[in-house]
Amino acid sequence: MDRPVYTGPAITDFLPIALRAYAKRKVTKSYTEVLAPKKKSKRKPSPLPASPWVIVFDTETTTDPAQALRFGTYQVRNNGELVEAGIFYEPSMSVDEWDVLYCHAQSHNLKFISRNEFVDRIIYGTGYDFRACFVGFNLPFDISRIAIHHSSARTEMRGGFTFKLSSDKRRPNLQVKHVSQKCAFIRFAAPMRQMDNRSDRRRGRKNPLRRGHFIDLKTLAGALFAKPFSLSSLSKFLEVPTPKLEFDEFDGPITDEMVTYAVGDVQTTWECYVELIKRYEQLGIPNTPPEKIYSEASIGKACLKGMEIRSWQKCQPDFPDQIIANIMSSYFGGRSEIRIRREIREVILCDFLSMYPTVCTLMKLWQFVIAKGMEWKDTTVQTRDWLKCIGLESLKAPGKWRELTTLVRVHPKADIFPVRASYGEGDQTTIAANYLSSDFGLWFTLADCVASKLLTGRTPEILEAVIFTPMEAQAGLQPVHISGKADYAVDPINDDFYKRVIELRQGTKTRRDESEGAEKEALETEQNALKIAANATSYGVFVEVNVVEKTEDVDLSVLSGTDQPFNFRAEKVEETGPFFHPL
Amino acid sequence: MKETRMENSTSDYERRKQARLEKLGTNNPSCGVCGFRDWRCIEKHHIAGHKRDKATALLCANHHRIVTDDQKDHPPFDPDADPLLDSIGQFLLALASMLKIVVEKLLEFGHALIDRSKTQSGLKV
Repeated sequence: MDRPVYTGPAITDFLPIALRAYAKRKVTKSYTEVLAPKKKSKRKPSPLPASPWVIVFDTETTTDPAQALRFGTYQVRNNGELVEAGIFYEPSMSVDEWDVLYCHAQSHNLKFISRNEFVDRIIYGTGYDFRACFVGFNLPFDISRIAIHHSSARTEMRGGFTFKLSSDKRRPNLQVKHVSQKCAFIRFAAPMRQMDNRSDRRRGRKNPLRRGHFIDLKTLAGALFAKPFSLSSLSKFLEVPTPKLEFDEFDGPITDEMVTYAVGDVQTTWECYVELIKRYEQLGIPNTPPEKIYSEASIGKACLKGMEIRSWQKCQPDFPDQIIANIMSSYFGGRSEIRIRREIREVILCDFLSMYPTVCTLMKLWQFVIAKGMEWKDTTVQTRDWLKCIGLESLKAPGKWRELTTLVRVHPKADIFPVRASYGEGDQTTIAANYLSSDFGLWFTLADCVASKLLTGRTPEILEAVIFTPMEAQAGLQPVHISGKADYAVDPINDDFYKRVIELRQGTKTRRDESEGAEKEALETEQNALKIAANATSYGVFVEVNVVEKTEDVDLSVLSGTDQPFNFRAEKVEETGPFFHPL
Repeated sequence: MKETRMENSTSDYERRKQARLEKLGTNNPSCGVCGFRDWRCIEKHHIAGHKRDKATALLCANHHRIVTDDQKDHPPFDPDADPLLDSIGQFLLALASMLKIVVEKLLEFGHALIDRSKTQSGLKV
């Protein structure tokens, strides 16, 4: 091939690079596994949504590293109506502090109970038995404060904690597993008692497990508004009638002001909950309770489920693993890092309006989402010609973007490509776009090649190219109404989902700017719902890969874009998300 | 606040109610035939009989009794018959029994509406 003489900068570093591999669990059964009796079917969790009962609670703790419980406040509500409100105390507290709490409870008509009574009567007697929804802000912290014992969680919650709340052995423990800083899975463990009566056991019926319903407002608000909140900032943002009170003297003894603040906190939490549920219902997401919303991606997945889109892996289970590995090796999901800290520098704020949905629309990626699968063919010769001709001007033609669903293996010679390597001290790797030369071929997207050409002025050397095209659309797809409004109907077959949603959003924003008062507020909520629907369905959910810790080492087959496959045994396994689609 | 502390009787009632709703698999149970909505009277009916198929429908106790009684007149279980075809046949017969009651109800509702429309029209005049 004609290739201009290398004129790039001198090679300064020889670094090992890290590429994403595709590790698939081997499903081959050993002789003993084949002979072993089939495992009993697992008891399923109850699919029933929470009853109208809600328990809101908050705890106040010591300020030392132990952060031990001092006292807590709670409300029990049924259908929104307050049934009981009170204060619970840690029995080991001093008599003086107990007196302050008791006097406050008496003068404000609040129940005054011990931590044990709160757990047995409110958490279990009402919350568990009445199938109530537990509401709090940073709920895992409050749960851990009222626990009397903790240990490591098992089974699906491995890696998390099991908290023992009650000394009554018949009551189930609570399990908490942190997924990220913003969200955690919370559920009741299985109770230590017979769950099926004799009639059910005789007929082989298994009653469902009561896993409980937990809504952490920190998680729900973060997902709905795509930004982090404290209870104070959330109450101001939602403009609830009782905003969080200001108080910061937690070091000293319990005072009446501190108790007033704590009681107010629970009321603020309740009001924020009501407002958030209202906003959530405005999104019009069918069949997904708010407790299942952990991030914006959860909203995206619920939106896709609402359209009855089946996952690509279920539609095309025989897709070659090696091609998935090649695609995965071209992924360079970076992490933001700060290299210059606490120095005053001149900066330029850069932003891109609806970048992911725009790129998805230009590349017609929605057709892949709704397709029964994808086909692929070798286009090495055509892609080489295409790349030779491409430039800034030609990229202004939307038709050119459709060709970008091509994966290429290139021989990098001082081309500017993203690459994952250890640039600083230590083994920690990160992504950078730099001049890259390699002795062997590496898989990149065709878009990366275009970017390199625009930056260096030279065409990267393509060794191999594969274009992917969508198959026909799945049957039985259903239209959805974003925000539950008929005006915002999106038909997955005839509309490009991303284009339609962004157009609807722009129209709503224009109408919002022209309106005032309550209408302006309503349109703001609607445009936010449209923004979440577009962003949450355009990227993250399709490359969701979760690390799952197994109880024992399992056999894995590791495939990569550069080397021969090899087998490996590991305790940690990568499991793809429900809508995994690597393209 | 209506009451400062939930009474024991309220707790027991609510506990029974929630356990029952969990068994029924819905927070808003109603009879599939007459629409009766009291959770204490709603039962799960195995459409083709619990030995043949797991599919269930919610019925009030009265209609559950009627539909189950009708099932006794369906052809008895034949051990030599194809189990799949037998299950489908029994399912269809049971569904027809239920629909028969639904049709009666529909006729009753239709006549009631027409009668009411005549009264309403008379009032307007």
